[in-house]
Amino acid sequence: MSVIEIKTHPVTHIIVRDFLDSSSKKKLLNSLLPIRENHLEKGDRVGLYKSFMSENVDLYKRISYLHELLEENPTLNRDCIDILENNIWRDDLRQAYANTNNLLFRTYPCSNISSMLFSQYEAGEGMAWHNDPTSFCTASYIFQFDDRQFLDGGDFLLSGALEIDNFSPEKFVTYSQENNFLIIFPSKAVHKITKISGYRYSLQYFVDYKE
Amino acid sequence: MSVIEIKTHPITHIIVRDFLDVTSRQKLVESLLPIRENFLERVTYTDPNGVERKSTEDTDMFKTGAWLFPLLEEKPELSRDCVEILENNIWRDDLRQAYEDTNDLLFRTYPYSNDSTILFSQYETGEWMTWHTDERNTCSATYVFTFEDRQLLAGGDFLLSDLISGTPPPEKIVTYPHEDNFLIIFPAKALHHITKTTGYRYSLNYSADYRE
Repeated sequence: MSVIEIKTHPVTHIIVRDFLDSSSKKKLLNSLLPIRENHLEKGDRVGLYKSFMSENVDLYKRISYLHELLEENPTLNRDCIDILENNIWRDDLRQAYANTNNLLFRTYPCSNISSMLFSQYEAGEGMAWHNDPTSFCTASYIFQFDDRQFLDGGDFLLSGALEIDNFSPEKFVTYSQENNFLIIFPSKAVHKITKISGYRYSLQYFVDYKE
Repeated sequence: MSVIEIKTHPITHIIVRDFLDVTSRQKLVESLLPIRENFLERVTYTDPNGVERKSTEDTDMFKTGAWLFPLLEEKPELSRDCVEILENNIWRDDLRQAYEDTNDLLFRTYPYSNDSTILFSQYETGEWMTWHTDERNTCSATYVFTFEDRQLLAGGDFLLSDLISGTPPPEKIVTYPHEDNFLIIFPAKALHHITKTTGYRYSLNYSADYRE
């Protein structure tokens, strides 16, 4: 059963341990396996992603935008998208968004469009301090494939700063790599992934509101 | 000098009395005068069920308005004071500090918006706006003001509620009677309502968002 915690330091965010039950997690991994093998691209070559990254940001990872990929390749299994999305909007998490007593999280379920990014970090890769391109929250789901183990690093660092310009990492919280772990945080909060050994996998879920 | 208050009931919002200084207010009103006289049209909006509704007698929204950015692009001879004065003052230091002081991330991230719209609205006698939410996910700012030649006589109250659907219960509503030179900044997804007016009610509705 999932363990949900609302944190307030250094900025309001939610962490969920054991996010997916074992059957859902297995289905999700199975649906991602062909994508991992055939459809990951170097992040710095993907225009959509680069469009919101500062030129100074060091981006080292392979990625795939799942909605676009599945539209292009309808034979691929949609479990990865459906399972993640359904679980982000399940009742216990909706209750947690309301319980933060923070309007950014309370209005999170008002979003009406989403995108999902499948990310793979290999040995030596990481992500510099940055923030994300939407005005809502970002959800990051961290998981492992049985055949590609994570060895070290890959920590998720979340700071209380909402601006990347003149950012200095003074106040932040560190979440060490943990399988089946979800973190939901303000998209504008500056965050970072430390360099890893082995492999690190995640799904980033972005939402927004469009007229 | 402006008086800024952060309110938490029924939802976090900010009110600003005497929002603009006398000179800025005068310039803003003067720049809106030719727009008021020549460019106001019945406006459309999308109701909370996602249905686009026109402001006609068959709907529950009655007002005329003008979207200022598209209008000024189409008519470059019009003065831009109305948009510039409002926008500059919404992002001035004392208000930025207030957004931060709410200690709420919706307001704290509001200054990072990079896309805005301004709707100039006119309510005439008998006109009003039903309970509704706005088409953004950040905050909405409404600036209420008067023209000297067109006074409000009664009504035109601004009612604000919470992130709920349907008609809100009385304990979940705060009422701000009409007040000249008054700004309110509230979550765009909070229900709000304008009561029927007698005379004229004018406002500028400023919506900001973050676009890639």
